Amino acid sequence: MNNGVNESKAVAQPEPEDDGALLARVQRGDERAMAVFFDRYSKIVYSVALRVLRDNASAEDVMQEIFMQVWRTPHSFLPSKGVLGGWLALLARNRSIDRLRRRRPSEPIQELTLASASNLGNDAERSLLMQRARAAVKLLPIEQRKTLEMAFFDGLTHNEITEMTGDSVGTVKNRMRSALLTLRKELQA
Amino acid sequence: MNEANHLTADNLYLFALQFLQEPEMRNAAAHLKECAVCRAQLGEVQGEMVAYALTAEMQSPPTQARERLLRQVAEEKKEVPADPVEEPREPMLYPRNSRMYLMDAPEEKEPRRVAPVMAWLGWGVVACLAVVTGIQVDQRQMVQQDLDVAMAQLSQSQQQNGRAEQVLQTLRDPTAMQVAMHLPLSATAPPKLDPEAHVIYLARTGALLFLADHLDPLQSGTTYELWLLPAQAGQPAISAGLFKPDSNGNASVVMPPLPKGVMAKGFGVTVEKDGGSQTPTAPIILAGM
Repeated sequence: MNNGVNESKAVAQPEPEDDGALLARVQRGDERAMAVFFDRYSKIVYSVALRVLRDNASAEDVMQEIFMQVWRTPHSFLPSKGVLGGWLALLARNRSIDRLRRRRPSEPIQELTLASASNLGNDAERSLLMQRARAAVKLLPIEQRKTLEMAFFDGLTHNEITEMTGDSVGTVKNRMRSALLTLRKELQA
Repeated sequence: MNEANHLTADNLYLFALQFLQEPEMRNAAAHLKECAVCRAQLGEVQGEMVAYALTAEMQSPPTQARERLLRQVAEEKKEVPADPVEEPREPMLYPRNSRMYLMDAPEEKEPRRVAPVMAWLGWGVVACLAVVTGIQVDQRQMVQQDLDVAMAQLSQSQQQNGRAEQVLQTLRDPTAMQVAMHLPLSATAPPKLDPEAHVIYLARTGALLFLADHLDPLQSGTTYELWLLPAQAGQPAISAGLFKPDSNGNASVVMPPLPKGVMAKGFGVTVEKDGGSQTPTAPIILAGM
């Protein structure tokens, strides 16, 4: 963001270490790198887990598990710029749902294509993306918004949502898909 | 499932949300491992989900969480090789320590061709054996590590459970001695004591212990009911269990099912019809704020 300041003349700030370099340090057993990771991504991970679990202690436990997974198996995380934060956010959601359902952790992780070219490791970019995502969600029809919330944050399956709302399975699936597609379009606009 | 048999859009979303059931989940994972097209589409779906995840209200974790993590990190110090070699890795469908990962462990690439043919074959066999052995050793080590951690956790849990069980037995056992201590008013006539109770409540976990004594006997068809009065204005009282006193007027409620995280401004006890009530019925027999 420019904010009226000529960035080329702005006072040079030390470039924060990128995720790839941090992961390499974690791979080498550098404990200080974990502290940097925590400072960079703990808020995202904790907030998503708290939103799902609605319990501070449980959310903290999930956060602890996830960061320990980074420590134990850093090679299983791709260091693409800005994407690691997205992975961790999804991991927080999936682990929290697993905990709600008391099932074995089994999150499949794929190469991630963020709906926006934002670097989630950067506070300013992350904050901007959050604002845009929230604004986009507010524009969704109420049925889509509610269905997406039930599926993503409450961990209710399409069948469970069908039982609760009385809508057909097809309708529920369509709402989930449409809501996320709309979100993507809004963020790419 | 093969590359020509792509995942439907619905199944991509259900996979990303982890709502597919077995064996569909496993089939989809197997297909995604082979199909770059579906993998790319899944990446986009997951990207949408990340954006949605960020709509959660951002809250900072507790201050002690950082210390807790770094303490555990320090406890699990790594054995770092003297000359670590960074290996480029493919994106993984599963975390390395998962069962799915072990079953789908990638194979090493074919060794380079050299002449003569027999030598090539020999080296090939040796290389294959080395790769297989390496994978097996790696898997065994991971499984052994998982097992060690699980055994340690199990042992710790068993100790904690044993202690918790002892506490519960003590509280629930009708033969346990319960004594109310008070100032002796008279050596000959015992004082008439009013009902009283104590609640120990942990809002964070929803755990509650309730002990009462000197309760009046109940009329037939009635029961005492304990109520949690939420601190948040407008929230109705939450039933924390039904109980009946023994012949000495003692009663307890141990770990009733309560929602987690409900802050209480107080507790109350009422007399209700057998089976309990949706809302407290006046008068309140015991109250504590």
